Amino acid sequence: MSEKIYAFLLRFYPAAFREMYGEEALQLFRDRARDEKGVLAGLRLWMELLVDFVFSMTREHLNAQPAMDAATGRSIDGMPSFWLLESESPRPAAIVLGGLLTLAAAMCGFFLPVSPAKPSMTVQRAESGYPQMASKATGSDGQRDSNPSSVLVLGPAEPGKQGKPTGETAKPDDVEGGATVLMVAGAGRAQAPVTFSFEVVTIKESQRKSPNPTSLVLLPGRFAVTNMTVKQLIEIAYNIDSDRDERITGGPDWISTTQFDIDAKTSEATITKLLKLPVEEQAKKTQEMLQELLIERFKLVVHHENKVAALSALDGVKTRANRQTFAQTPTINATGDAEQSRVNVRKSRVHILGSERLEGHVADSLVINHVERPSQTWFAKRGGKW
Amino acid sequence: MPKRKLDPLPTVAFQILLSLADEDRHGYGIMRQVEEQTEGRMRLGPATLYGSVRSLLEEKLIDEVEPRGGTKTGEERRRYYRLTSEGRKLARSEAERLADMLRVARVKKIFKGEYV
Repeated sequence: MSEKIYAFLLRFYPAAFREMYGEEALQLFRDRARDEKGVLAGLRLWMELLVDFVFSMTREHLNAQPAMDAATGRSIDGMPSFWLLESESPRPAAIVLGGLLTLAAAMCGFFLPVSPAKPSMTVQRAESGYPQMASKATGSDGQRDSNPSSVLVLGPAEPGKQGKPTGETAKPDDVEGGATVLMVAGAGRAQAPVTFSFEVVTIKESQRKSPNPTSLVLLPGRFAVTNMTVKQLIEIAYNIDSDRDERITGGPDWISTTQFDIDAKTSEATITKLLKLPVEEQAKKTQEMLQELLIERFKLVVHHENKVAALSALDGVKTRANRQTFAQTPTINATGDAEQSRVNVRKSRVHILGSERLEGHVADSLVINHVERPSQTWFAKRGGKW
Repeated sequence: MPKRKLDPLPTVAFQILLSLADEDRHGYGIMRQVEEQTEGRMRLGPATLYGSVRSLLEEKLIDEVEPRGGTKTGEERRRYYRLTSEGRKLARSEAERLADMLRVARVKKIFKGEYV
């Protein structure tokens, strides 16, 4: 009973503290309760615990606040970014508010009159030093355009949903540990046959042992993350969605625990070309660039496996056809033709989505065949090839 | 230069550093050692203890280590902490600072003939 009361009191501490030391604090309480028996000792224990609770809880919440202030003021090389301070799910009210704001942003994108001939985007620099993205769309006919010049996308874009410029709110567990993606982009209709890849890449292992807030900046031509595991990077690069029964399997333990800071940039010319692509295409290209980065730098080798997930258990249908395994796609080979492999994965993806619509219970799994940990700090500038 | 979280070193943090000076300990071990070395005047509550432990870990003054001999079967997994060389250095400088203050107090005859 006493332990339950103390466990309840622990719930008043900040989530980060609870996750780090909640179990330890409870263990210490158990130890003390075991050793300090008797009415007087018990009374003394609870008096001390209550005093400790009042003072330490206030202190922990005050300590958490400066971290939040510091986080909102931080940026990666001048780029705006979101910092996730808590790994727990946001409150329902926050989700509703976020959803409404996203919807409003999407509606703005739909109804702003734009010119199909000259879509443009201006980037204004705020006084604080952070660049503010602002769209300036003009159109002579005032009609609705399916390609707005500026769209705010929250959460990784999903392949297969072309030409749908709506903002989507990513669920907190879309990416393990959570990561919010901000993409502000201009759009055009022309697609130039160019090679999209990162020109300058810095990879370094996060030094801290304890889990740190993850941040992610994803802009056309720029990919910067801090404190992100390889597993999280793979989820972004391959658009793994755990809500759709998609899983990452295989690989060593460190891909889920070791955090990395990565800063990857493309050339100005590539950014210009990226900005001319539709928003969905930009997201796809960036994901492909990230896939290439993982293949090149982490020697990542993966393949997709798509299975019908326990249909008999889900809906009582017990046919052999429902239990069959879908064809596997070829393995992406780091030393082989990466471009061709990506195409294979893309095709497979379309196939999976198509099957899923028909069957409704396809489990998609990305199997890691090989991955290597890069050296402590790695920096490279591409001169044609890495 | 940003101000360090543990500058000046709080008494609780100093006591924890002292408790780890001779051996690695887990949370309850630290609490008991602090109680012993302060002759029962300081009994750390769980949250106070782990709040300080976190600050000390962040400043790399202590380190989390595997228990000596590993975890025995059936024994609950506990986190053990060890004093780092940085932590030992800081504890020593804090002790010297306190010793200096004690010297001043003696010169000023605060103790009125009593030996401290």
